Amino acid sequence: MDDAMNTPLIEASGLTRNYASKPGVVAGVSDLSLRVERGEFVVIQGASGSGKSTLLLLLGALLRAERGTLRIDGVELTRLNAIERAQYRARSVGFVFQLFHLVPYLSVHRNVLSGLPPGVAVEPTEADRWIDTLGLTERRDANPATLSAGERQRVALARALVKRPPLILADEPTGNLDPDNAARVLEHLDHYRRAGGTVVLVTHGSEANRYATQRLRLEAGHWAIPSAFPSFNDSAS
Amino acid sequence: MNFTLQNILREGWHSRLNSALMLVALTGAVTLLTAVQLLTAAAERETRRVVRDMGFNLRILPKDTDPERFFLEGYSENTLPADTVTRLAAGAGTFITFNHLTPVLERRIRVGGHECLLTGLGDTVVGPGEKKQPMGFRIAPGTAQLGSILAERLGVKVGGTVEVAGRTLRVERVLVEAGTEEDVRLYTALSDAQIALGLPGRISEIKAIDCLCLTADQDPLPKIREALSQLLPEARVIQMRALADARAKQRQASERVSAFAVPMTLLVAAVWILVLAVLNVRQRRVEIGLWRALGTGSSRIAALFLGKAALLGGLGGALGWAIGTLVALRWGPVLFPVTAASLKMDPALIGPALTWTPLFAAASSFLPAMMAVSQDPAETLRADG
Repeated sequence: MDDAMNTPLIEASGLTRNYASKPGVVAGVSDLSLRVERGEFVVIQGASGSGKSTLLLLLGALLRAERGTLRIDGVELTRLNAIERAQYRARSVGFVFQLFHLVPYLSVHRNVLSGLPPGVAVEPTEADRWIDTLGLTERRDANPATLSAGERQRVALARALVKRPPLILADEPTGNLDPDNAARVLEHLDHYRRAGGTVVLVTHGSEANRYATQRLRLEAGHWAIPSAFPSFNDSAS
Repeated sequence: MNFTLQNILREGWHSRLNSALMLVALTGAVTLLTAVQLLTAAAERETRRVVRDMGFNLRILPKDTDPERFFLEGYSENTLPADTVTRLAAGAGTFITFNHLTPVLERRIRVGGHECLLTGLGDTVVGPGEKKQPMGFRIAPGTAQLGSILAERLGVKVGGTVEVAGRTLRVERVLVEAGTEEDVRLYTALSDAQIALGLPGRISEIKAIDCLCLTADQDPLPKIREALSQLLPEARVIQMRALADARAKQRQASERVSAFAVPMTLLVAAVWILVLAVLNVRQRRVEIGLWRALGTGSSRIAALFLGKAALLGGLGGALGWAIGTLVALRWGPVLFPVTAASLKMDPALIGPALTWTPLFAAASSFLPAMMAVSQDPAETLRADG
């Protein structure tokens, strides 16, 4: 087996990032450690302002840590410059957001294609395959404005999955969905995990708990509950 | 990720209002600039014609002319060699100060029992490479043009003849009543006047206009006199100041309009485009954050904004050129009736319109594009803490 495959996908230590969310209020994460193995479905819960989105943005290299180390898929993110971080995101991470963030002027098909990094050659049918898999065949050429919330989130999911990244970062992906659509999205994420991918999902709610291989809770930027899943122990400090 | 032209077009169609307003700004600016360019050229032609019709404002006389006699008689009794005009024209820098050099021989004579002013006009000399129409009359040898009162007194009409010092000249034109000494003037070719007056190869003055176009408060006369003293020491110059001043003011007014209109148009268009581009960036903050999250490089994101601006610039340039030309052709003749016929479409303006407008639009969108690429995606994509 490849050595890289034996190392954890995510290793973070002393991770700190603070910012002024409102005048006089400092939010973010402080001195966090984290270990996530490949093939995990990590659910991070916490109240608004607990730092869970900040952590997700740090994992996605959209924020730079002020202190600590963060190694993902063998790459030390804290040492990357802006261009290298963009390349890392393009290559290794798929994002799914609570508000979907579809490009409003692109069709479903083109939105899915927009998830492919520049210059990456994929089978032309790959985007269509994900569109079919996620039950969007009939809406392939539709504009995002005409889609339901559930459909939009499935488009966002297809966009994240089309490049087959090792890591999916999902920020409240079910926050705007009804229970049926929420379950559908979580099923797809779990299916992706079972196919070898890794999912880190942050949420207020508990609907993702049953898919979690590791469940963590953030409070005011610190871990509140140690891992509840012995098989992936020692993930939280 | 697909950042093709099609995507820029899709976004442009998606944010139609913003695109339309940007296109209106660019089209408006180019329309105005094209119209201003065409109308400025028309205004210059009109100004040239108007100041030409004002007549000469400089009279270059033999140096020994008695000013008292000159003003009483209306002409110099002294003369210069006729080739003085060619010597003046050949002088270094003559046409910086003088233009439309016209040799004239003038005397008071009796014709048919009536006293009149005989004015012989030679060919006008203009600056090298110029194709200007002569300011005065061009009179063929053997012909004459008569002031209205003189023609009436002599009982002569166009096609008739007049006897001048024993020579018969055909009347080619009778001038309309001017209310000045022009009404008792008899114009002939210079050569005919020289023969009639027995002054072969002589002229009494050179009429000209000054090219300095300085108004009276800027006092152009010392400069004119200094230039002439170097070019033609045997001559002196008299400036008809009121005429020169009116001419200078007319030209300066025309130049001030263009000098104000062009930069003002560009400034207004640039501010308009800047505001719209900033609004577009603000409107697209989440989209920009998304592209960043997907790993899109800054140059590609900037290309989305600059490409859109450049495309709209190209379209605005073409539309503006067409509309500006139509505006100038429609209303130019109303503004400049004298030279209306010379107002024409100028295909040479389409090149600059298609080249500079996209560059101008892209330059105006540069700051907002930089705002877009420097935007923190975490701020726009973060759902909560």
